[in-house]
Amino acid sequence: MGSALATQFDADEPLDFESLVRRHQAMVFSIALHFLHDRSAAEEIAQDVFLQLHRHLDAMQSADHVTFWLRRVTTHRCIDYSRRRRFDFVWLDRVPEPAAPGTHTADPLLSRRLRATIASLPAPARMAVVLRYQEDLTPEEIARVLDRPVATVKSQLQRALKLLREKMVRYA
Amino acid sequence: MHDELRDALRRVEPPDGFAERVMRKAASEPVRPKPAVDARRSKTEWRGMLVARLAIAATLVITIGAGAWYQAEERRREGEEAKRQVLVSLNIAGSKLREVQMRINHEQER
Repeated sequence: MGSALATQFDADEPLDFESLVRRHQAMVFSIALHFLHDRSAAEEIAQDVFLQLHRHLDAMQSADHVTFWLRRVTTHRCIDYSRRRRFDFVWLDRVPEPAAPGTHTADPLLSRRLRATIASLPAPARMAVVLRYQEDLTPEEIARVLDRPVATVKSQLQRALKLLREKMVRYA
Repeated sequence: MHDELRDALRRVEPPDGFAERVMRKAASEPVRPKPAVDARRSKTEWRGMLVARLAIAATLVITIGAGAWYQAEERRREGEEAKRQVLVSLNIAGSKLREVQMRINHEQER
């Protein structure tokens, strides 16, 4: 399977499935974790997404295609999972800590509070915020990943930011 | 706010051994043999198949309709034939009766 992929990818790209997993695992796991705020559910979803990639590896045309595909499948799986989950409470003490606390300069308490506030957003806006600030995607790219009109994504981001500001001001 | 959001939502590494677990699961998945013919058919092929199916359905409808019409026509023809035979029989019986009646009348007049 790797050899078939080798002819389609650039020469300097890692080609085999294991390389793809290692390269994209943080992206896939983080989208699920920041959206669901549940480490075990995030790991489960990330594993399922990579197994699905393994089954569809022949259909991947380029490295960009793999990235787009992984973002799309992960976001849709997360949204489906959160719909199935009846009670969507997020406790502040369950909000995940970053993997490497020493690599950032911001107030860890503030970051934690911010993640908890993001967790309280409605699912569509929450996913748009995760893709905007974790993956640094433009509203147009988010619209393509989530299969939504660009105008919808823009208004969801604006409303989410307004809500987050209000909540954070109240917290401060 | 944007920087704080980026900081709060920076990528997180999955638990240790994640890639190994994925690789183990992927290796244990049964390999499905590829179908000889690509399952994804082009639009033209789908249109061709649809036309062929419609043609088969139309042929069936015409054949069944023609059969039903032929049977009804056959029954009607048999009925007509039976009716004609009855009428001929009645005609013959009538003429015989008239002949007998005429003979009786003739005998009485003598």
